[in-house]
Amino acid sequence: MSTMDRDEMGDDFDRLLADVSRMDDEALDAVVARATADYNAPPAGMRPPTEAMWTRIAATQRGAPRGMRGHLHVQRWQLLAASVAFVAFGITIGRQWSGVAGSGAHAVPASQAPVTRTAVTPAPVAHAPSETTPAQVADAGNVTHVSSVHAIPRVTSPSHAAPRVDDGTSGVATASGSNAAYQLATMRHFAAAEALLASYDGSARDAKTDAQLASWASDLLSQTRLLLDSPAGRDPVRRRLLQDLELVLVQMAQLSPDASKSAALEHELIDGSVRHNDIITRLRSAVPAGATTAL
Amino acid sequence: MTVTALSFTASASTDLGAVRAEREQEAQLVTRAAAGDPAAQRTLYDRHVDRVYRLAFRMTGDADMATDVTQDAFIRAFERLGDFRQEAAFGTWLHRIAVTTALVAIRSRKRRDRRYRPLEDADDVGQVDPQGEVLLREHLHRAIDGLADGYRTVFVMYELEGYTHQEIADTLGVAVATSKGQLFRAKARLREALKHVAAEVRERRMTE
Repeated sequence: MSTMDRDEMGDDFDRLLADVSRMDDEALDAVVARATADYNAPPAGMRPPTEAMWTRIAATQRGAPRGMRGHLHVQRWQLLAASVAFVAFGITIGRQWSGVAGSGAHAVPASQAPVTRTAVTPAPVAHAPSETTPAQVADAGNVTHVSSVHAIPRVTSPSHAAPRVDDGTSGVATASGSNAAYQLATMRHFAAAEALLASYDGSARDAKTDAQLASWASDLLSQTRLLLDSPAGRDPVRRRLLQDLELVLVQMAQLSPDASKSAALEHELIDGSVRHNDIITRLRSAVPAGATTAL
Repeated sequence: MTVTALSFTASASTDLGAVRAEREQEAQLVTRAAAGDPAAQRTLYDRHVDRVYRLAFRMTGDADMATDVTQDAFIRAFERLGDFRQEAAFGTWLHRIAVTTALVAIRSRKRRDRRYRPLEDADDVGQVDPQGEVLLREHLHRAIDGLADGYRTVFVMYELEGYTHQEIADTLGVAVATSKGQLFRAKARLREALKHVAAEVRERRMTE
């Protein structure tokens, strides 16, 4: 490349850098598309090692087939039922606890804050258009019975959630209350997810269990995604755990209710994901000791 | 009915007929392969290996890993063929296995070599390359690496490999709206990464 070519490229790039801040989404997407087109692209003209791969595949086919895992553990049903009862109990207690905490520490009675009658405006719901997606809306729409998540104000930051009050103190109280609510919802969610994963036994399969697991996982998946998009997902460690959990729950939610046989592979993959990511251990670490009883 | 409309109808029914015949042929192949017929297995392999390998390569960025993922996907698929009920196309089912296998492999690699860096960490521009576009590309590639699995998979499949949202939805077992949503968010994050890198490079150039 000649010096002149390099200079021209440099000029183009400088222009691009200067323009980026003024570009609309469409133009930015075009730059992103150009710059990412060769992401992990196979080298030009490269052919997959078809024959070498086939040799190994055929050799595996000739070898002893892996045993099918199909026996049902009776205790698993009991464990599953116990987990459902545990989660339901936890949510009930949690609701009551939230109500008590909310009425005591977070809410400012109207009678004690006369100024709020006129000075308080409704808490603005912070919209984040760039983050709101059809899927998000769809996910949110699907959650009809996860009251703990519905109770969470839809805000992007606690400070935005605080109502505008003249003395400024109840705003702070509400913000910390909001954080506590997210914290509580996350802990409760982790406890529920742990209960699901602990009761999950990949070596046993049947259609009814798969259907229940899929439904249960689907509920938790919606909640996981909501938490990911909430301030609760800002903590990097917690976010990574939520993301790993999301992957496993997606796989579990895909278990077909009437595909008892074909679910074997899915079970194997779920096992792999849970094991590889130490999800159960991380969930247990994320929930403080004794928190589950408090929830 | 006009001649054009008639010919269009005839053409469409021919296409539909061809698709149906192809489906039936593949169903027979799957049945034979499930019974252990090596020739049928090889035919299925030949039909799908290129696309599966290409997707595995795009997802892993490594020829050896792509080879392993492709092999494993076919081995698992052939082992489970008896359970495959042919409600979806064999290719869709196979792709789902391949994507999940690739994601597990990528996660194992990340844990092993700790190469993983989340998007938030992709802010050290490092040495300014005189060919800034190369630098920009590298950072955007790293930003893709830092995307959550779901976002990255949909981005790679849709933007880079040309799958439709319907194909992605079928493969990943999600709704079409979810696929679109994941892509939307992935692109939003990459736009942010682009702005971030551009601002940083500009700042560095000004201070030099």
